[in-house]
Amino acid sequence: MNLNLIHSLFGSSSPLKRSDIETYGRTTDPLVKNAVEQKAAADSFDADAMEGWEELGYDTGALNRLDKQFMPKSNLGWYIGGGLAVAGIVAVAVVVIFTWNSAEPESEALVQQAEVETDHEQLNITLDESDVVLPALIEQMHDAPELKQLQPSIIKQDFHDIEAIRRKEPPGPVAELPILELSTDRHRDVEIIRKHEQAKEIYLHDLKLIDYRNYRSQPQVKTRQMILTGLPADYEETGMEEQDPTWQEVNVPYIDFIDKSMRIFGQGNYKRALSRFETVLETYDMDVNARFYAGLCLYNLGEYDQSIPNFEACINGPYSNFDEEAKWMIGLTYEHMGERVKARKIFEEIEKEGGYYKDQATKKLR
Amino acid sequence: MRLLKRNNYSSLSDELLILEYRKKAQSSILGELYVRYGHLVMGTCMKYMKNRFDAEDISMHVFEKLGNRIQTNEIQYFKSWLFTVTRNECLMVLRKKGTVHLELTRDPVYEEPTGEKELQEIRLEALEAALEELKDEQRDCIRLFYLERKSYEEIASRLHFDLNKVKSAIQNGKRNLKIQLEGRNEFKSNP
Repeated sequence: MNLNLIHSLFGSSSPLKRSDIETYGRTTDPLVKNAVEQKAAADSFDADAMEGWEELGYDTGALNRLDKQFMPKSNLGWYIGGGLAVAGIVAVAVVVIFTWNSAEPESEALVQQAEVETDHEQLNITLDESDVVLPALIEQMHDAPELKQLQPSIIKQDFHDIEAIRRKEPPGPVAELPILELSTDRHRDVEIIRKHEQAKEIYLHDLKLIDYRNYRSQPQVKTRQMILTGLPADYEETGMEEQDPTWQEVNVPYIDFIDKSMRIFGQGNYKRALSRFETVLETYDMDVNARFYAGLCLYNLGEYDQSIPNFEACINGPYSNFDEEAKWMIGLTYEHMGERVKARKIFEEIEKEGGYYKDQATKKLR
Repeated sequence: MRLLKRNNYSSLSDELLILEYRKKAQSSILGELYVRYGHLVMGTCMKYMKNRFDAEDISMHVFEKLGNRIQTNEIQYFKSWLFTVTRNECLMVLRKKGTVHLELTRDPVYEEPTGEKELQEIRLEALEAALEELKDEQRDCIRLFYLERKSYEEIASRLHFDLNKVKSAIQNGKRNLKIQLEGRNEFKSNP
């Protein structure tokens, strides 16, 4: 017990800033998380806002439209200019430190060593396995002709339109499933599937996702990463040994892993994105996000046989969020495969169900 | 250096900004209020609407009407007033949709932080005694959160609670502590 507790409980706290929300979303450091949580807990407005940002995956990109309208231009300039200036100052500082250190006498060895370690740390780069090497089966795939691909921009537009339609209807119930502990077993679904219902959603890079943080305890993806340390050239003579980088099995927060995967998918790099979705499925083999976007990757890679089971898994899985899109994709896939009877049957079902893709299905049936 | 120059309003308190806006009605003052609170308004709307598009629309509406409201409303504490305005806008939209599933768990009253002088007057032993009066779950959560600086997730994992239970135990525990300490006359300068 100390006086800090009294201050933390009842003292004034600096208001929650936008940067706090961004930091909270990115960090895995529990101390940093606690610092932001303490700020939010100090005031009802901040606390409610943080709960809302949780729904948005702490992605402050959701403020873009508001920023354009209300952010003073001088501030936008300050943020951009300030960012550039800070980057410039850091760059100059690094050059100065390296130059200064190389001229220092031996008496400064300890200080120098500490600085080497600090600089050394700052140079760390983490590589995911999918950044470097792809599984052989994926490596040999090729993008389908562009006309036969479904571009991410189209699916983003579909999500947007479907959401706009939903907004006009009263919201249905959202799944509240018990949160279960992460299983260490791979190739095993760790969720209890009771119903096929709508789950909470988030948008990352304008792409719809189920927010599994509401349904899993500490969701993580087991993957392999390599930390590239490297030594600055100025320190080659200091006797420090550079460690050979090696691949290590690590658990990465699900939201971080999926965020990067969606960025890669949005860039049209379907082989790399597919490799990452496969990694997710090794931990959570009924993950609807990974199933749906793996299906899209395979579709755009012309691997139609393999894409259909992924779309079907979305429809048969625990959550209904991708039902419409997945069914539509199954129809399109059969069409590309030349399976006209099967495609027609799917389009007829879509037309009968009367959802977002009804008109497009009707056109296909003509 | 123009890019690095922020507007002059960033150093003013909310109260002075409001006074300034009433005199000059400059949009840059509203811009400064947006910088301070835009993310809180959007986050709060998201919490209640559960829908990014509605949240964005309502936030837009709040800031579009802000200038007019500042001119016509009596505002004691801007932040808590804005919180109330934001929640009311959300409630109105939910009522129109006929789906008020909102649970108003917190009153939008201004929670004035305790001043330094009053903080110094709180005796550690009184706080310790007040902590002991709390329910077990509230006391455990308060200790882990404020003393051991554990995150919500860590506390939830350690105590086998869900996150919401941890958050409400901390909020309720904090409120009950304050009530206890006030009862023990520990906030002497702040009755």
